[in-house]
Amino acid sequence: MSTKTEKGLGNRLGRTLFVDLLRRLLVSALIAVPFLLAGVYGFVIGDFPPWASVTILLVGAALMILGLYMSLTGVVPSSPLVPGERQLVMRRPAQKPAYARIIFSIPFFLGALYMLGFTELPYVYPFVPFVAGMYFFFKGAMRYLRNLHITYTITDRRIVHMYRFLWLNTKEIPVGRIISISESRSFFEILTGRGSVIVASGIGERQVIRIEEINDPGPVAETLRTLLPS
Amino acid sequence: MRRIEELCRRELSQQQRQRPQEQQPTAVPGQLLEEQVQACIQEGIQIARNGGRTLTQELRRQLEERCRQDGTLPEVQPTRLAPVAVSDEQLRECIRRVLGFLPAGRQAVGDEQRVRIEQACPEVRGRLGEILRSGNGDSIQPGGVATVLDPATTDCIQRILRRVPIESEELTEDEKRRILETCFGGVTTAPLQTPVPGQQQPPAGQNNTQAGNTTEEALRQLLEQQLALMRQQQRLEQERLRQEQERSAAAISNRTILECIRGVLGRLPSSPDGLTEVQRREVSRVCPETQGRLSELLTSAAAQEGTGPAISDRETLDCIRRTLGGLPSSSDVLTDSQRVEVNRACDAGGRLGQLLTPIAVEQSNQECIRRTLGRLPASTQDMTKAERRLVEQDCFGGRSIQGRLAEEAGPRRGFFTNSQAGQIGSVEKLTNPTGLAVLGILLTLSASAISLFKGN
Repeated sequence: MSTKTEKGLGNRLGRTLFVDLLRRLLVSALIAVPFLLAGVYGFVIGDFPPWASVTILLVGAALMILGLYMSLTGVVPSSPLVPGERQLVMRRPAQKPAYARIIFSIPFFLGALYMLGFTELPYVYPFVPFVAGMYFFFKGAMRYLRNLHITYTITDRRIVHMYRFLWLNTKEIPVGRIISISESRSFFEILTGRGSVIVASGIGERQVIRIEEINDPGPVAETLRTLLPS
Repeated sequence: MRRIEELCRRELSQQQRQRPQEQQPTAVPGQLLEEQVQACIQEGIQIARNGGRTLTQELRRQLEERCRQDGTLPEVQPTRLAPVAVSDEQLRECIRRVLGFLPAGRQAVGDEQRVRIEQACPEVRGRLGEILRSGNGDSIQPGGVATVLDPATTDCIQRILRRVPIESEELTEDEKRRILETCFGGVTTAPLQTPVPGQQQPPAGQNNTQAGNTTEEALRQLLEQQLALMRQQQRLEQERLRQEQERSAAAISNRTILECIRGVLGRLPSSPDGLTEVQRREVSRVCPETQGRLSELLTSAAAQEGTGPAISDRETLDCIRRTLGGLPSSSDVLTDSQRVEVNRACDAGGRLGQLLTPIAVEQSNQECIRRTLGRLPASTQDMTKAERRLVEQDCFGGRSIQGRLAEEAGPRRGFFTNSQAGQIGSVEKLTNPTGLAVLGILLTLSASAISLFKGN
């Protein structure tokens, strides 16, 4: 049963472990480099107060270390299976929404930069778009890092949502207890070929697994439906 | 020239007959006469060389006339032949200091250079040409023969060639012959020779040929020197024109840039310190030539237009600062004893009211801060505690400098409003762009990091 569809050059290259690792490291570096550059600029060229330069450098360093750690630890997916259990689907959230958030932050930064440097407006005016831009940027960055550590696994016995960062957090629903399967795709997700599949075995947070923001959710939902008792 | 030689021979024969026997060379009379004639002519050339003169057509004509008259060598002008006077040497040194080199002649000195020379060396006034004529231009190597470019010879060479030759090698033999004949007295094959004492003399015909070669060689050397001088003069003239063009272009460029600044700001500030960051950026954007030169341009413009406190006023303000430990904001706050003390120490002479204007005090304070720290911080927040203490001690008599810097004294960009110093609230005081940026980064980073740790 073919349950995994991979599209795009990135995904095809990602099949290779080494290339996948390099790609993740590159993205982590791209997230951290603006802060490192700003910190160095503050020290060498700009007239930032030393404490500000140090803080910005620390933020950059933290992002770099975090990205390196998460890239290295998240590169090998692990899905413990019991004897006799067969893995049907394993998916990870798509990274496009994370990238989109990071790119979406750029106009806010440009607006803030214009208001700060080319107008005499009080600081609150550039501060608001700057904070908004930073929010989108970090939201995208954190989403990217988080997605590296989320794995959705469907076997012939259970559905597993696994998040492993500094700790392991899993959520499982036995196939026999599935009471509903639903697909959710927003307008943009339809345009970009993404969506979510929600599997429920009851009422309550622990009874629901959201297989969120995966590419091409249709085959995943179809696989789950075949597992339902007839 | 043959006639000159004959006259020389006749004269020297008479001298030879009058000399004591022991002084006469041991050679045969004919050879001796020939030697002395040769020596006579060489001596004439040497005299001209030692006198710093080019053996020009004119000098050769004088030589011929004198020899035709009485067989003696022409007298060279005493001023040219006289040993270099010490005072003239000092003046030449002075000229060299001013210009960086010693011009070869008066014609190589531009009007502006002459003014500079006369300002630095007043004794030169009216004697520049004479002093330069009697000195060797720097372009000529030590020991060189010709030092002053002769205009008649130059014209003669240029008339023949219809150009200024760059190298003597580029001249054809025909051109050299024509120059030597026309510009250097027409002597190219003179049968003259300088015999080497003790050496057997060659036959008369060979002797004449060698003598002619020697003379021709000497004239060729003169031609080389003349060409070198012409090249040097041309180079100096080009250099002078280039410098004048550069100065003119720089002056026009500076005026244009200052007009640009005036157009952007609506005024021409005396220094960039009074400009806000936005004004600086706007000036830099509209007038990109100001980048890195704004301070220099405004300072020079202020100095030319007389804006800003005069140097003597600045010194007086510094003296008042030293006396009182700091500058008062106006003369009204001074006590009588302070006035007496200031007048005694600084010779303010009742000008305290004029000196202690808010602008002058502010500028003087800024200069003091710049002197002390080597830079002018935008605000007291940009100074370390040690720097602040240093500035307070050196410039403000130990008083606190909060609110004293230029930016803090003027309109200030606040967080919610742009307020004057002293009107802003505590929230406004806490803000500056870098601090706000760091605050925003930390705020959003912590907010978004929560989702990372929660996993949802």
